[in-house]
Amino acid sequence: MTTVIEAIGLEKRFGRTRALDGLDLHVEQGEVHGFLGPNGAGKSTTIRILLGLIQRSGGSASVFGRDPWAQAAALHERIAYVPGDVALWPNLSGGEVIDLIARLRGTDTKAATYRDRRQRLIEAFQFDPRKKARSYSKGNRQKVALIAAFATPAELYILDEPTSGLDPVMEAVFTDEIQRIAKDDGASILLSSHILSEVEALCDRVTIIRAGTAVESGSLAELRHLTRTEIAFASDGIDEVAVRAVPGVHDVTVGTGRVRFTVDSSEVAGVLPRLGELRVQSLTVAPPSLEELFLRHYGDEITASDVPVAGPNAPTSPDAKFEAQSR
Amino acid sequence: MSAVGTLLRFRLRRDRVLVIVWVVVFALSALFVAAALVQTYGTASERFAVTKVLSIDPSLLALRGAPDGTSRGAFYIVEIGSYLMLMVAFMNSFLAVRHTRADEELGRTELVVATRAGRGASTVVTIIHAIILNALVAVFTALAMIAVGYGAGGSFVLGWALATTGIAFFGTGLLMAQIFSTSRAANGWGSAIIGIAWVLNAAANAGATIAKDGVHATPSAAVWFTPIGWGLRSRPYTGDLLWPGLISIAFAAVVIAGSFALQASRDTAAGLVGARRGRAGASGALAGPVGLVWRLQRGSIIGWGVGAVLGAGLIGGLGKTLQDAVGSNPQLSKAVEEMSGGGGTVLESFIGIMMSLVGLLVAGAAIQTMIRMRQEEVAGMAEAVLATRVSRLRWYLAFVAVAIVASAVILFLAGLIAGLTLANVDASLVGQSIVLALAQLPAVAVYLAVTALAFGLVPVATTPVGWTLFGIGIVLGEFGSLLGLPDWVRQIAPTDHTALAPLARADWSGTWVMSLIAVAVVAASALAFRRRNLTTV
Repeated sequence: MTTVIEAIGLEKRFGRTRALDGLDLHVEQGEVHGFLGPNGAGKSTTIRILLGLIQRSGGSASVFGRDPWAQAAALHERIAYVPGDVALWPNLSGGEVIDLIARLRGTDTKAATYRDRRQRLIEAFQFDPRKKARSYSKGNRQKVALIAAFATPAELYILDEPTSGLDPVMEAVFTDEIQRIAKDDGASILLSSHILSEVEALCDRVTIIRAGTAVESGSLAELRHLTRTEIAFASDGIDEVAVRAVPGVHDVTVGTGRVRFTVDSSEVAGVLPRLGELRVQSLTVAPPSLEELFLRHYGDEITASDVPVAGPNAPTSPDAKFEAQSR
Repeated sequence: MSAVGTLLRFRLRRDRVLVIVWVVVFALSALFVAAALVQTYGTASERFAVTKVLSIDPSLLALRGAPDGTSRGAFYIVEIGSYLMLMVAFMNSFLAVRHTRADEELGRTELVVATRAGRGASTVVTIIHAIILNALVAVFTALAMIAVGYGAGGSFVLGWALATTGIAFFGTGLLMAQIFSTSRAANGWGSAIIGIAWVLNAAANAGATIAKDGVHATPSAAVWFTPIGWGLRSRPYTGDLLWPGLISIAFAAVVIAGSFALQASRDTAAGLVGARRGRAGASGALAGPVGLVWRLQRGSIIGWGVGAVLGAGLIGGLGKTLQDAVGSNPQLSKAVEEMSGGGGTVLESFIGIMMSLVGLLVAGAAIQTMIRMRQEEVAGMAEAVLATRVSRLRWYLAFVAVAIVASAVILFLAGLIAGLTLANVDASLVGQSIVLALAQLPAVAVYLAVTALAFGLVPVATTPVGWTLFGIGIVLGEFGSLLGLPDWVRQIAPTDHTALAPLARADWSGTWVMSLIAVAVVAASALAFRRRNLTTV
């Protein structure tokens, strides 16, 4: 296996803000790598450094073994990119933008292979290429970027929250497309996201970052311990000791009339019959969300570093503020 | 109505800096020019001599105004009256679009309309906003004039004329904002209307009937066609009429009523001129960075180009009349030659002067192209292009190349048009006027290069640096001698170093020096840009 992306101790400072603080990231050839983290964790900053759009302040980064800052244009011949916030030229039609990006990537837009791919994608994404870009909604702008990225084959796809603004049907089309390029073309994919289900469905390996540092990295199987399902039920007449005795149960708490615990997602099926024997009432089973994952596993660190916890999407988090500054 | 009150307070807060800047700009420029004229042309006999020359030269009549005696006030109005009107017109047209169509285009209006404020509330607030701004401009300009010693009555009539003309162009801007679905198009057409009004007014002045004393003139009837003419026919300091301003107000009322009617009948965010469908795929021209830059900038480049070529056409139209008028009077011929820098025949000097104006318009196109580069970076489109195999240098040079080539083409066309319209006077002028036009290119390149340098070193400053340079260029180039500025100040303007007629004795050293400076600065900026982060703030 050859390494496609390698970042070691990557740092980026914007004035006094530390956007990246010693980030490590490894992507092997042919793998779909999930890049997970809440808004403002530094995903887009990392991606911009990997594309040579901004310069790193410290650490090392290489793409295909080369320096992304010094050899940006040469590297870009092998890369397709979907930005997190797709901006288009308002007076160009979507079809024109798709062809323009293809040509800038060195594609012969008259070639039959390109025409076929483009047409197939336009149909799959149910996209009208003749409207001017200023009239496109967020989802349609996203489609332009996705079609432009997929219409010309690349060795590495860097996708920054590519499904934001897409409806569920289009998300499914996107998933098919990723599976196709990963299987047929053997391409490597760096997929940044904050949607755990999307990453679970597509990715071989995952790196989770928070506040500019990688906090977890590994295959999904290795990270399975992070994804626990929360189970709760009424505490009336329940013997807490009996609950704790059930295999696979963690973090049992009793309070406000409810018993709560977590269980490894793969073991839920084994736990449920035991709960039936205990005759639990008003049972709720909550699959893990990324948000809970972060709060559960990093909540203590967050409070320790004196950062207000408001959930990954809250605009008040300091990282989100940083993101606003850097735009 | 409480929604209107809330919106108005918010609006004045949002625009407080802009309002203050506009008022200060008007008051200070009035103060500065008024003081400079008192110093340079302090005595009635000095003003008499200049006015006398002015009234026999239709090109000067067009570019300045129809004289109305030789009093200090009259002289002031002739020299910069129409330019003050032009400034107030642009201020108002941009204001109207900025607070209606631009907000609507960016989706802010939707937020406001979704509250209990009605669909027309933003427009009502914008009208009140404009009235407040024009009143402030009027009062502070008048106070500035009074402070330098001009008569109080005339100064307030000047303020009244500015405010009423301003409101009239506020109305046209508002109408354009209703008709077109993008602020770019609305501002473009608003500016075109102002340009046409200014040219009509210039034509009315050029065709003025001169009184026997040579220092009074009555513009032709066309002066009554435009708000600029209505403002100037208030005759501040000489006639002190208030009623021409009422025509402007009546005009504004009709146009604003039309805007409301259009707004009432259309969907939010839609225009009267709808968005056309585009091509399904890109044409062969949209292939690389150069094709993209041309596609992005062609509208504004063509706009500036049409202005420059029309200006050049004016040279031909006026040149013949100038030749006839001056030719019969050797004494005046000498005076005109001296005024226009000396050397060469009257026509050659005249072409030289006019080409520096054309050069400024072309510099505007070049500056705007450099500013576009920054706008692409801020809006995130630069990122999309630079994430492909296009290198930063190639992307940057595409903007520079489009700006330079377009400038050269416009200058060539302007020279050709000026020459052809003069060909019946002297066929040899065709070649000369092309050379004199192209001689502006190094000066244009200097404007371009300094704007590009800001882009490379201090990207946030790109737009302010670009337009400030343009403003300084106009003040120094067009009013430098009028204001009696010292030579070293006037020499800051690149246009001061272009080769002048007659070509046989022209000094080309400035051309080479400016070209070298431009190339060096563009290269330095390219290096700086390659070393910096892309920023979107």
